[in-house]
Amino acid sequence: MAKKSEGKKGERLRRDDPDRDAPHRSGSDHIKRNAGSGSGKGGGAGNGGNGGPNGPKSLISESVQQAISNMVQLSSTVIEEQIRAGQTAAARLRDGMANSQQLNTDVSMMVESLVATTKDVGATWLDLLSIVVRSIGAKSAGPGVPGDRKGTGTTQPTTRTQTGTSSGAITISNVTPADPAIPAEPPQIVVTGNGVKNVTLDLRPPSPRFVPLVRELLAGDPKHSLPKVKFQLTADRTHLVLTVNVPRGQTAGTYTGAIVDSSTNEPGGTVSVTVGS
Amino acid sequence: MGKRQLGVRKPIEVAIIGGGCASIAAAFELTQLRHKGAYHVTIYQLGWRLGGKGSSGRGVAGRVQEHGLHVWLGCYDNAFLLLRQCYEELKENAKWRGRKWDDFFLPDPHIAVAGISANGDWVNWAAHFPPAPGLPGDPLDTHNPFALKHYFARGVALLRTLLLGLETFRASDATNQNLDLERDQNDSDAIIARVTSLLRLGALASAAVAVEALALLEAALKSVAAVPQNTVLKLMEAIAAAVRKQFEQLVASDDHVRYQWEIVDLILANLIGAIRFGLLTDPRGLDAINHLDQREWLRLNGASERAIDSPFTRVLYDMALAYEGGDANRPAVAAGVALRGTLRFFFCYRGAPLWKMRAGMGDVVFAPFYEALRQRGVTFKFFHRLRNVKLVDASRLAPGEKQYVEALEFDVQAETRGKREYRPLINVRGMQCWPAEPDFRQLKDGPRLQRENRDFESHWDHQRAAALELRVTRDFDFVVLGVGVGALPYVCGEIVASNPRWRMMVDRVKTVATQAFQIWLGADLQELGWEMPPVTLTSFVKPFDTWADMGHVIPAEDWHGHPPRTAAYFCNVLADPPHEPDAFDIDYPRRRREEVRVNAIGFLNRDIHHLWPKAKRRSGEFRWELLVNPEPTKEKTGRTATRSRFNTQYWTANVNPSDRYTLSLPGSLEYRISPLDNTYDNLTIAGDWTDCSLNVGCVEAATMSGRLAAHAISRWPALEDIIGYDHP
Repeated sequence: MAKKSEGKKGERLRRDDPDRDAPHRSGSDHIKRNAGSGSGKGGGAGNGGNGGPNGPKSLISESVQQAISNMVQLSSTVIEEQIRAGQTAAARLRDGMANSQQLNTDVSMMVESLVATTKDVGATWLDLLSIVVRSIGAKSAGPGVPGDRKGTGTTQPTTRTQTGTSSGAITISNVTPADPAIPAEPPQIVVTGNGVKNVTLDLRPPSPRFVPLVRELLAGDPKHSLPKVKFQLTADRTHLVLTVNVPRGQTAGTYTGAIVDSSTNEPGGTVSVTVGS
Repeated sequence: MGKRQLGVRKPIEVAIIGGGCASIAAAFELTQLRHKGAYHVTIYQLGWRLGGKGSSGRGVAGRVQEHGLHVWLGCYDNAFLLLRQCYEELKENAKWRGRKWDDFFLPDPHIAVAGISANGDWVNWAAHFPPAPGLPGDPLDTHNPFALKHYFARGVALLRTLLLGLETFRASDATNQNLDLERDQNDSDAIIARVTSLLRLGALASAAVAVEALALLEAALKSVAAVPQNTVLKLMEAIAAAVRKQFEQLVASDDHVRYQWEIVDLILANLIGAIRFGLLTDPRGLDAINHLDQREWLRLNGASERAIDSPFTRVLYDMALAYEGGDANRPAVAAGVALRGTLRFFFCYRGAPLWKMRAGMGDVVFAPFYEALRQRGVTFKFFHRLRNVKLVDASRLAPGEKQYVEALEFDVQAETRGKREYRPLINVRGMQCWPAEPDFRQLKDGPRLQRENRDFESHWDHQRAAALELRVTRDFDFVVLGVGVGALPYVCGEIVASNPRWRMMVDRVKTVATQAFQIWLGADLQELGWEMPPVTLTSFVKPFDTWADMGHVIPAEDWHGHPPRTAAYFCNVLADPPHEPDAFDIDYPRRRREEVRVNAIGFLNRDIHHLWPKAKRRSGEFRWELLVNPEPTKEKTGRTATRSRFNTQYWTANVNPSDRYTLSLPGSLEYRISPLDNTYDNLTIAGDWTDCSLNVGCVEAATMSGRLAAHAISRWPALEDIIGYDHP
């Protein structure tokens, strides 16, 4: 309500002092404000007054917090070892410059090894991370966290695996949906061509709308690629199939690439194909 | 708040000074339907057009002539929100029927930067940003883009994408990767190149592991109370140091990977800094590092000098025109403001990161707002120059009463014939537009004013037709001061002299003059030698470091069947002279414009071929015949085009105090005053120079400030509904 001026003709209007005259800046306030309710109130930040100093004190149980802490420390060690291995390999490369024949072999082996290790370790960590995030979701509970997709569930992410063979290649198809609502049937893998040793699909759809697209697979030496790997639907449009077409004379090596959402480019898994010599 | 006593029907009179983004936003909010006509707004505008720093005008051939380059970002949620409401409201207006806001905005997913390559040439790097869900201005009911969780998740995804070399980075295979080691075993350079290339891949693979660790870090950051920050920091530093060490040795000679690495390096430095400086828990949020310059902040957090000097750092300075005094050697932007802007730019855009207007900003934004506000009953007073904001004499205040604005003193620059309302818009190809010049026919003594070549927007033109004083209670109840901060010393002398906070704000919140030019070309981009998509490119050479292809605007112009093939807009800062011009130096704007003309000609002759290699003659000079003359009949025929052809194009020097661009210098942000400040209880301020939370010179900050000013008067919109106001 405007107030009248005391000293004038009784007509001047004046503003009341505002409730506040600065934004809420604290990042932790944001975590609290954004963690409790899924109901935004028209605006983006602030979220309808759920947070602030009176928001929930902690949304994560002590045990989960401890698990995260341990994992951070553990991962620090693993990373250091991995990086040290990379540095050693790099030093060997530089020292081996004089012997180009040996160098060629070393470089190829090192790159193959690094790519494989990266993929394996990365996948493991992603698994761990998913568990942690799900745990947080389980404890923070409520209807979900704004900014998250609906249904931040209480269940752990589950990986479903289907193994098999196709054209002599061992195929491993994993799917780990980020959300229980996402279909979790591992795609069938169909290989055409010879010389393929194995194909590993690690699909991690982040949302039900995820439409996977495989980028061109590259070998350690990017001169060599494997472009004809793609997702298709079966004729009855009920199942997803990954087709891997390896042309005759394809250079031996491990070809890897990312799976992304076809419209948003958001990463959602990896594919690797090993072609034997 | 701000309501008269019951039984009093007369609306509350609000005088808004200035017609830029902030003022228009304030007017739009105060006249929303929900207020049921409680507020009557009058906008007092210098000269003949609205828009402030966003104004534009139609010149010869209906050409769009901008104040500078204006591209809206996909994260301008407040600005798009109000503009979309405006277009919705005009659905039934005869002049606007059937026009939708997205008819006038072109989503642009491409952003390019230019940098110096390893061999000293300019090299361009263009990124395609994938479409993000939604459209700017969509309601945010289920999506809060300002949660730290969201930022970190997107940050990790971005790092993964970069390090795994997806799409954009894999597209070119321009390095020496096709060498055959067997064949080249006697060629040591070739072997080194080969090994470097392969080693680089190994390093990338290692870095990918580090990225997965960042994903883990993301989870850890969610429980900052549980994980000791020094543990997190140690992890971050270990990753960064090792990855940097490997990369630095590898990327020096490979432009492609170098760019990729520089981005990674910058992201890592920012993540480390967020931990080291406790930004996640600091109640000041990102403001806690506003005392530091962005480069200084990156350096403190371990970024390599290469990354600090990279175009990806420079782009922040160029986009924010962050050069104190217009001096290219004095880049400065507060680190917190820069980081906040970067987070919002990269992670909060919807649709596309950039949205280019399909006509002038005046036509696309301010003409519809003018129509909608007029429809709501807002009064516009053009040709009104504010001279003084007069405070009440303190001796007349009642005990406990706050000081207030007693009067507003104006120069009336020109009066209309018969005291009729000035109608400012013209029709160009069916679109309501602002002209580049006033319509002198509507003005009293119009022919004389036209002959005198009056520049109604010049700070140095003091001529007036009349004086006007508005008195509190008689003519206004509240004032929204929406002029630029550069103009405050000239219109708020009493306040600046008596109020230390205002004095400090005027002293510390600095501005910079800008320069811009536009050219219309008879060749398309491919013919000019530009091989990338039409882009907005920045980080190029001074004096014009930013270029935007604006060929999409040409259909909105009026070229009578001979349209140019494309149009290019350039802009940058303009250095201040050693001494301020005299208050009556009416020739000053003309001299600065001439300076810009010379700069532009030199730039086209000397630099543009780095972007457009086919735009130069064998002599090295720019091919002036590429420029399309809108009035070819006035040109002498049979002669080779010379640099004088440039005179048919458009250029501007934005040197008026209110036209100067607002800077966000380190150590200056705390001196800004909020529109919510109630020191003077019938005055609020609005503009991108106020403490509006975003605090960087742009349309979005101005709009937020205008909404805050409306809140200060009417308590609406709620602060929680001003998108991004409560941002870390």
